[in-house]
Amino acid sequence: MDTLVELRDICKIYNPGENEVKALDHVSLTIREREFVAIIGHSGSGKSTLMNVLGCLDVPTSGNYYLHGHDVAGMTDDELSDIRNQEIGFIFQGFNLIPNLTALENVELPLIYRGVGKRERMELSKAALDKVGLEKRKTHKPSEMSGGQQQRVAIARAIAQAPPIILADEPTGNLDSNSTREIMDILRALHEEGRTVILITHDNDIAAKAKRVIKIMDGKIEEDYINVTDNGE
Amino acid sequence: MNRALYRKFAWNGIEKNKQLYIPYLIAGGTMVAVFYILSFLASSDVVHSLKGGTPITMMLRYASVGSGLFSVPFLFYTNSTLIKHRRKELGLYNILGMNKKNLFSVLIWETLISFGIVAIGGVICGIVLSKIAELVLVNIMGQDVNYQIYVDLKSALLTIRLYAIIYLLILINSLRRIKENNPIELLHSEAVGERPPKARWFLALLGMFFLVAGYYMANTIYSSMFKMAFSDMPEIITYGTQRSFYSVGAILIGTFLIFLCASVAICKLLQRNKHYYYKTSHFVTVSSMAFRMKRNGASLASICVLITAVITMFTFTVAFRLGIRDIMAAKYPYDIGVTMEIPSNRMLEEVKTGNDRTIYRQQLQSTLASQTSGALEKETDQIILFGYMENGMIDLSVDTRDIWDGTASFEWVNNVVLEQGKEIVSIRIISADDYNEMCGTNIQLSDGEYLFAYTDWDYSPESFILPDGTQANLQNKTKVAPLKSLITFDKNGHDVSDSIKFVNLIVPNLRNFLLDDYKLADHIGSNHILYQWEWGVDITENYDRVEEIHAAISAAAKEAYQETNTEKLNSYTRAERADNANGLTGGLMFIMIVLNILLLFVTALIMYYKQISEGYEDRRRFVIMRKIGMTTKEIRRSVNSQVLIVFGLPLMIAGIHSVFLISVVNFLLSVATVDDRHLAAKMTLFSFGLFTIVYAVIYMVTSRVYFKIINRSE
Repeated sequence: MDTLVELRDICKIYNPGENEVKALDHVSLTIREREFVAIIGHSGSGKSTLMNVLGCLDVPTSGNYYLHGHDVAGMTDDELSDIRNQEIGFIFQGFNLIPNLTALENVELPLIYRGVGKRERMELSKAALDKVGLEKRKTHKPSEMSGGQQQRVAIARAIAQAPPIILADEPTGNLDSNSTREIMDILRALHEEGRTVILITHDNDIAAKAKRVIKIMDGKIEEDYINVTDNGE
Repeated sequence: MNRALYRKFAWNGIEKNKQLYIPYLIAGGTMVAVFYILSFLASSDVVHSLKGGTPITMMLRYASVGSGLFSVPFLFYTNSTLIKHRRKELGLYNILGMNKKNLFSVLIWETLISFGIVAIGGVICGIVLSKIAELVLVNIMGQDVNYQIYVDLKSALLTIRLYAIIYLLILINSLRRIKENNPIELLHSEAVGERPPKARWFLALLGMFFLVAGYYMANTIYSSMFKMAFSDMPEIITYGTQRSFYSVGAILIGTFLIFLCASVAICKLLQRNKHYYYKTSHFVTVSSMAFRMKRNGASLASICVLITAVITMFTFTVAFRLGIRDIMAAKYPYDIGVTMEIPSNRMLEEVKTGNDRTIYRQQLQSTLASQTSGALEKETDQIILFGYMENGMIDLSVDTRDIWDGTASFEWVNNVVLEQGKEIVSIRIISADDYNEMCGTNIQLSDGEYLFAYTDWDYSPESFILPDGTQANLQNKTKVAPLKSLITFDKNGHDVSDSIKFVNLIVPNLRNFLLDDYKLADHIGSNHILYQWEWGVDITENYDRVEEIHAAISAAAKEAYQETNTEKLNSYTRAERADNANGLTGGLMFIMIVLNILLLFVTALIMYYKQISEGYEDRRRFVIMRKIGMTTKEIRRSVNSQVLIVFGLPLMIAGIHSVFLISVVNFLLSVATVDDRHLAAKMTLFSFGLFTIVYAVIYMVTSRVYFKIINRSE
């Protein structure tokens, strides 16, 4: 498998000076294509900062970030937006759907930015909703759906444009156990389809579903191991 | 992204957020319409051609500038509330791949669309309403003017240009705020935990200081003007205006500091009292109130200031309108009137013989006879001089040379008054016959009997002492006093009695009193004495004819008077003065109506936004409080009382402000020659009552949005 993501000596410092906080402290890691990685850590460990950097939502204070071999650490805001649009599908704990739009319109949204034509957009969006089992709910607004269904719409939005990376930040944090299971099954299915899934969580049970676990503490990678308990592998 | 998409996103953004956008667009449209209407009327030939049209045009010009200036912070405020709620959505767009330039393009289109709706809608509304406004204005002033319907392109362009600049500034501000944040900050902007409010004691105390200083300045306007009794009237008015301005400014600053800092400080103080604080009902209410006041301080202070402005403006305008009618009747008792001041070097001779008056009278009578027949002639004369009042006794033997050489500064006069415990009063002496004529009474005074007539004194004069030391036999005192007529009092020709206490002394016979009792000959030169003669006629002619006759009489009066100082000769026609007064009060009334509607609308809009933002905040709190074990009933009770306090507080404080501002209203009324001090107090009470009802209705209507949002969580 080719290298998809490579972080080299990444530091992220907030409030430089006397009260500075080192959220990421010389982090280096590599993620290959089609990996299913869980980044685990306690609150304040730096995992959200790591996710922001991986998702091109924030830029590191120092170090290099290579995506597909291109250094994105020094890219402009506009270039980072393009990367997010084309390379990364985001799934958030709080779903982050636009409340005034229907499920289908929410899924369509990133495709619109990408300049996908209307007919193709509709087909891709419907297919994505179908994949997460919500084709019949496409005209519903978020407020008319359960938490699990809203998260499935968010997943449909993330996969509609077929990005190589799925970045999920505590995707089951707000869900009950049934919905959690459903979401994890979808993520696993996406991985099996060939997507690279990066999952951020504080929950060991959720992390146990991933192939590889990266444990982060105080802004440093403490452990990085292959999950042998998953399906006996 | 192509351009059409930005437009589509922008339109969708407006359409999908209509709950926020509709009030924002209405706010902008209203501002545009009001500005257009005021500009249109200010440059309207119709308004200018009205009698008293010049001051109205000027007032309208000021009002349009005022409404334009007010639009800037107000539209910025409404837009910031809008953007605050849209940042999460914009952050999400940014995360999903829309770059900042795309976001800016969407925002630019949103602003363009908003501006288009606001400008076109506002100007169209303005054009329609300006016609109605013109009709209302003409109607209020009771005048009949024909005019053609037309669109004032100049005003329309001015309006569009002004609001284009305002919306451009708003856009720049929105773009700046979006640019400063990365996508995650935008996404989480609503969820960022609020920092606990700090008690800023210094600022809280400073707020109290400003408020007390403002109240003090407002309430000492009269006493401080009294100290200036010997200054020029314009100087006194300037001083009073400045003092009013400072007092209003101090109250304004004080209000903002009180709402922003003192409210939090009081909550913090309550939190320190452990016995009080750690009770179920107090704990949640007090801790939440601190946050609420921190969040809402500025907008609640704005509401408070707006309410105060509405009440004060309403009070002043209605009191002015009511008061000016009485004033017109008293100040201008005749259809045509002439007032002359007899020069001091001829005063004694004139009182003795009446020769000058005979010459004046004959001249005026012959002119009148050449112009019209059947006119009803009347004349009065009066003396105005100074006296001291001490322990309720007025002493007429005052020698003004002791305290005033005509140039003395007011501080010096003040010291004299304070040290000796005496007060200078202004006394108008008139005969019983003239008094009966002026007041429509029928009093009879025997020789040696006198009557005091005065209004609005804190304590009344009991009697007076004649210069020879004998105490006069006061027959009675009455509150039926003739209003001040064309009094020109000090040596510069200004009416000092506006700023010091004023009493009418009614005597059986003016000539006898002055010569025998007062010994006028001994006091000319020592007391500052004015002798005024007023001659008037009532005639049954039309407006234009009365003006013509007045012109002839005025010329004859000047010829007869033969004095170089013609400032001491005045003439008027009641109709013309009444027209001017009606023009002034009508214009004021109209501006008051327009501004009050505008201010009420702004108040309602701020409350609407507050109810929305409080609703969203409380919805989150509802969930948390339920999780920690409070029952829905307890939460509702606590939230209801907080919301009621939050919206009741501005009304309560505005009520207090209005009470203290009665003095400022009184000052403005007295500058506008209305001197009934109870009128402003009565009108303040009335307008506060009226506004409380309006405010309660606004509150009830807007609170429906709040409860709608709250109930969504249940």
